[in-house]
Amino acid sequence: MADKPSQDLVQGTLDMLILKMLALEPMHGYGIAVRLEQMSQGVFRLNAGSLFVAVQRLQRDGLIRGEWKATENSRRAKYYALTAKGQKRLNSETREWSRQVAAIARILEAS
Amino acid sequence: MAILRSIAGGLRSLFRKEQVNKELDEELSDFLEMATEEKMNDGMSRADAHRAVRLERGSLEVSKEVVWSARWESVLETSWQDLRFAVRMLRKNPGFSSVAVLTLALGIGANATIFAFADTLLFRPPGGVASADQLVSVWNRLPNGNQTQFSYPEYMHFRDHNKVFSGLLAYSSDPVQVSWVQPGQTGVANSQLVSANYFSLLGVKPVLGRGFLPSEDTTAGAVPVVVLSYRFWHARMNSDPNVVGKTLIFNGHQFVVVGVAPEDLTGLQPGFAPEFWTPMTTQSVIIPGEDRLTNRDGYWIFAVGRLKPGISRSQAQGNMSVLARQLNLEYPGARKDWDASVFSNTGVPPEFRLYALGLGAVLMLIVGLVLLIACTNVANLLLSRGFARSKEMAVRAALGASRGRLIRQLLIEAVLLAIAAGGVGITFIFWTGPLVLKLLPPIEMLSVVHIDLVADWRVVCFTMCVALAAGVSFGFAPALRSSQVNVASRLKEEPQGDYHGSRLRNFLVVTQVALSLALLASAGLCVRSLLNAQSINPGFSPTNRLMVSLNPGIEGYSETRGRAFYRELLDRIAVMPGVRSASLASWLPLGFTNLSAPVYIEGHQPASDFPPTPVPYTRVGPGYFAAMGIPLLSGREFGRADDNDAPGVAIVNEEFVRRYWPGQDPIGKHITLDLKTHDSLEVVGVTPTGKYARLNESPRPFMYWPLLRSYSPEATLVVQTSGSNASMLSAVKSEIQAVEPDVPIVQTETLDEYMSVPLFSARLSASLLGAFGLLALALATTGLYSAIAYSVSQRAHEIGIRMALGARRKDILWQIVSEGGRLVLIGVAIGLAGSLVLGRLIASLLYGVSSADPVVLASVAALWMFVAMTACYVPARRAMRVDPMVALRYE
Repeated sequence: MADKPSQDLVQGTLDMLILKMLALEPMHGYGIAVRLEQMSQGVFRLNAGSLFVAVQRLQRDGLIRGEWKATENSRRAKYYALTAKGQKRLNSETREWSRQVAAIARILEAS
Repeated sequence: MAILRSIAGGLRSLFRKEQVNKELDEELSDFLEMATEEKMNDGMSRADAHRAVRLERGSLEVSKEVVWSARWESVLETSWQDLRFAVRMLRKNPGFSSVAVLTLALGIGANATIFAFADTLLFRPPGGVASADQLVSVWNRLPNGNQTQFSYPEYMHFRDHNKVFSGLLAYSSDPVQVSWVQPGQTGVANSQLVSANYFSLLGVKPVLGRGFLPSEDTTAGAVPVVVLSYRFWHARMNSDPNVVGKTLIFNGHQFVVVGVAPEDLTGLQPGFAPEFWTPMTTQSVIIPGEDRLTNRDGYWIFAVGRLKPGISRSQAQGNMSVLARQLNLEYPGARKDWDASVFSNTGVPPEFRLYALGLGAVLMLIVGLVLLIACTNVANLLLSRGFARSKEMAVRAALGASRGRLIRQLLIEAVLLAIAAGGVGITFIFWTGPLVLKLLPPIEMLSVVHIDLVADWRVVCFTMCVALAAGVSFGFAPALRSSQVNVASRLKEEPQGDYHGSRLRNFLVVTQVALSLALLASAGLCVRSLLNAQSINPGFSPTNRLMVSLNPGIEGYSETRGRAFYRELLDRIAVMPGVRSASLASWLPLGFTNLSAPVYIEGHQPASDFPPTPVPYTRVGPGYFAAMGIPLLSGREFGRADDNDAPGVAIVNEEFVRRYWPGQDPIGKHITLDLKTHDSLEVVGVTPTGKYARLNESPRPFMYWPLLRSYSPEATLVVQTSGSNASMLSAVKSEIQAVEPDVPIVQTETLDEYMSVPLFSARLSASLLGAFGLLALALATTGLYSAIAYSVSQRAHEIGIRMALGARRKDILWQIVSEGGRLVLIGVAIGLAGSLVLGRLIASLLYGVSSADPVVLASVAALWMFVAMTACYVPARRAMRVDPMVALRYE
């Protein structure tokens, strides 16, 4: 589990990261976790609990929707896809994030 | 939108819980399975992969719990579980539950009763009335800020010229008693004069017949009409379905019944329910000898208006002020700078509202304290039980229940107890209410008082709010305390010291002792004040005396016939066996009638234009002072010769002499009633100063005039009997009927009964506070006893060791008693301080007792010490008998 002090930050960013994953293509829960781990080169390793709490929250907010489908190895899994509203939220959050990162960088680099 | 969707999702998962949980299960196990497979692809054994995944990704069960508890509806669901568990726990311990519920119900019931009275007198709109919130009462407002009723002509002005009411009705403000002649007996009934629009404006549909017709406001008709109250119809007419059209005889006149009002209509004044209504035009029959309808100086009309739609109360106020000023211009002499006030028509009239509010607030404070004691009692019980349940708590904590969850569980149990107690407590008002009403003086005149306590929504809301607040307050500290569990040591069955618990318990005991002592002290003050009030010498002797109020005037007797009746009556009563003396008075002191007459006192006239001095008086017949047991200090008593042909005479009291003729001989001095006609009275006697309006009044001047000097039909016969007078009452009554069978007997009672009127307020406060004080004492004693008993049972082990080490039984006894005694002493000290504060608040209820009366405080403290020592001694004796071997083996 994440360290307590960073939990808020992680929670906010986790939602954004999941949205980003699903913007690439619809995928199931484990797919999200694996893709996130790959793309972060192992920095973000999600446990099942925090992932599904976030997925449940995003689903209730109407940002993603889930659908049961057959997997590539012919099992059943729930695939999540971004809704239009989720796409909008991802765009705005990405912009906000870049703005904040740039601002924080400016502050940290100032001598 | 997002909130709605979240709620929808939540509800879905609540109602389709199985489905949703199965899906979550599947997703989570798939997730973990896929992760495991990947590890196995990397060459791990299945078991190793499984363990690695569990470490990295979390176990299935924990993940499920995490996801599940992130949902808002999970709070609902666990609360529901807690609630069901709480119900189970309470049902499993019926003894504990019923003691706790009953204790709380006593406290809550006391609150509910007092609030129900306040509700009836202050907040509840009159029953049986349509849209009562549109009704306002309109009053004359005097320049000094006081309110007074309207005269009938004033009412008509407001009724006819206002622009804000769809109607303005009138009713007589004082209960009017009339004679009611039935075959075989003459009774008395309470009537109310009303304007003809009374029923229609109130939106009342009579259950039988009709209300009044508009024409009945102006013409009485051949036979005047009457509308009966449901109560009168039911109780005195046996619910006769054919009553409409029948004739009743009131004050010797025929009235035809035109309708019966519905049961819930009990008039517009809380507490006073008329038995029937007649139109204003019957005034001269209902109140004979007066013409109130044209009289501008008699203020006796309560006016109630119904606001037109869209008119606010302040608009009505503005319009009324304009009308009041118009009247001022028309009658500049009588009405100087008068205004009109508009009030809500709910509750008692504004002049009594402040008084009722004040008394209500004091009583609410008292019952609030009683409830607080009940709460500390139950808190104490919960605390002991919490300790007994600490193993259960430890198990639950070990299984993963958070402290918050444990606290919530315990709080839910407490609130559940409180709500059950609230339900029981609210039923108390149905038997405590009538009990309180029994305190009213047992005199016929008060039969008009009719208070129905109703558990309306205000009372129910209030009671449930009190119960909830009580539940949270007594549940919180024990819940905090009991949820503090040391899992490891508790599960290992290590002996437990309940140290923090005992500090909290001590605090509760001290609080209880202090509160109940303060309550008991104020109860003591009220009882002492009642004893004082009873021992106040009213100036006459009430024992072995009867009184009968008569009014031949309401039967239309002429003055000649009335005088003859009274003369013959006195002659016949005087020779009855068992009668020592008898006389008449126009009214007795300390009753409901107190009149003053403006007089000019000889030698007491600082300036020629000095206004006359108002002096209270009554008019009495020959032999009155002997019959009432009032001694004469000098001079003589009135005789038969002191009638309207004789020169005027008067008797004054000592205070009159002290104030107006100090150091002079009053006999032979004059009191002038009218300077122009030189109508004056010569003082022929002096009596000691008695009590005239109230028992606790300071000495006031008083004068007596001869009854026979002028005639008025109303009079009260006083009879001094030689022995017990219960049987004499009926003998005197039949003697009256032998003289004139039709003369209505307004009121009969012994003078001892009559004295309950002036003693009423003292008796009321002594009874109420006494009851609450005793309740507080009982609650606090059981609280103290159970606390000590519990602490002894907890310390059986320690006591056993001490005795094994050679402590004597006496030492153990002393230790327990002194520990309890220390708490009680602290409580008594705080309580004494508290009772000084409480005493100040009730000071206005007291007769001749200081609010810090040392006798009361000392005896209450002593009583408490005695009771407390007994409560400590019983468990201490049990401790003393502890067998060391048993105690030690037990662990």
